[in-house]
Amino acid sequence: MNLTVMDIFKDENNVNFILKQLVGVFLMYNKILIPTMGKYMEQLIDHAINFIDGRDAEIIALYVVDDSVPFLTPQTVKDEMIEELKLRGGYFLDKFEELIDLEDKPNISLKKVLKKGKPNEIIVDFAKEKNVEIIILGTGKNIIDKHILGSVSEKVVHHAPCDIFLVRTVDNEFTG
Amino acid sequence: MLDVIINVVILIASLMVVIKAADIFIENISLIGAALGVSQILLGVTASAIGTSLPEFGSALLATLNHSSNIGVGIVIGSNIWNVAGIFGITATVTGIVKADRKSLNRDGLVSVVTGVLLLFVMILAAEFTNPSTLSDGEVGIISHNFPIVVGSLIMVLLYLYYFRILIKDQRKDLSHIKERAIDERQEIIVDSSLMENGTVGVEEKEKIKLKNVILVTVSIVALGVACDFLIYSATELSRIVGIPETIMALFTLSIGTSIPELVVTLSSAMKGLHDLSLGTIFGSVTFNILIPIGLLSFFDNIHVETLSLYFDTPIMLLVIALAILLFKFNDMKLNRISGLLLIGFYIVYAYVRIFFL
Repeated sequence: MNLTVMDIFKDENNVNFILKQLVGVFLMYNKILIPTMGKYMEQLIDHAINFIDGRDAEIIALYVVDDSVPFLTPQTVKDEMIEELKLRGGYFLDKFEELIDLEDKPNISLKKVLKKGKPNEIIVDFAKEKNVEIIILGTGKNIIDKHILGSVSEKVVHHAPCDIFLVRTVDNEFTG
Repeated sequence: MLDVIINVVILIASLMVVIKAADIFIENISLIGAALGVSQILLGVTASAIGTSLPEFGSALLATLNHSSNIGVGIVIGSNIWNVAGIFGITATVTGIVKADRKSLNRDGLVSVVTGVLLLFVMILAAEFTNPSTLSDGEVGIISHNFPIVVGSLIMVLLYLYYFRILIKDQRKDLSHIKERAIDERQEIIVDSSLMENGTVGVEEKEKIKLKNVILVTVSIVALGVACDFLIYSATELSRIVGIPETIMALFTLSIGTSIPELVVTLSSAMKGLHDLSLGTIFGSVTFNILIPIGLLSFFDNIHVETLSLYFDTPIMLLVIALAILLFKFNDMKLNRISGLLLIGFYIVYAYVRIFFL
């Protein structure tokens, strides 16, 4: 059977396989940071697993307790908010671990980290400090919310020290 | 003109001091309470249930003591209408969503409605059992020590104590659930040192009473009293100079001003997804604002009820509470932007009618 190069490229499965191998060679991300606020975790994990593609890699799941409050917020309420977000963060990180299913993926090591501060700043600083190779983020809020409330992912995109993979996400929130 | 400017400056400055002093008072009284061995649950519930409402209570108290109880009643009812229509409306419009847990909405929402009905009932009692010759123009009754009005006031205070007990019981349940989860699942998480400083929920820490806390409690309570006095003084002066009725000043300027803590807490907690806190802040304030400032204060001094308070403001307050609950119930326990805009619209129409037509 005479198989030409063109024949190989005619088959879509072959093309996909070759592209995947090329991506694997050039973009061997071994340290992946996934900041999570509890939403669309499944989608982010799926993309991370696709990137890793069976290689040994480390995933760091990061939940940032947003401690910013407006002027005149009572201190006791601020403390209560931080405490509640801390518990919530712990719950989401545990949920993250459950979704990754580490028993089934021995090549992946997972670190769960809980930090406090402004989410975009903490994510960028953490990525710098830990020499993260890629940050996987969700696109987050819809266009109206982005205009009114601002977007963490947009801020991270502009200041990140490494590559970023932005996943077009849909709302799927785990509530604590 | 200079008079107006001076009084506006006094009003804003005293409002800031009232809010900050209430915050410092609650924070330090909690620390002293912890040192005395008072349960963290009791302190936590007290701080969140009363903390944001202290400015309303302080100003209503001072107004009543200064024999301007119409201002006190105005602050209470105005704050409640603003809390539900204005703050829920703004929060839902800005964040796009305010979620309610069915159990919390049933508990806090129902208590708010019952409280509102009780207030209406006490006002009707006051209207029925007050000698008309003792009333001034525009007044319908006096919540006094006379039987059976005093029974109504007593029921108000007892209802608040009962509600407080339910809050503590529920908080205890939530906490035991959190503790179980914390022990079972949290061991492998790397927690930043800045978060460790925050302490752990439910851990009973007993320290010695610090002199600093005692001084701050004393200073803050004095500052709260003095600032509330200035607040009421500047509001009445402004009413006199500009020619606005005192009740209008109380229903809008003072109630919106003293509700700033509720606004910032509800808005920021909804932005962070802490919907329980948003809901609890609003309905908790509504309940506290009615039962304690009116129920408790009526034991110390007569509270004069204006005709419009009984026939217009209080029914509107009940209506807006019911509207907010229904909006939650018929929208899958959520308030969205449309509901938010509807609540804001309701408030604007109420304010317009109240200021220009009544």
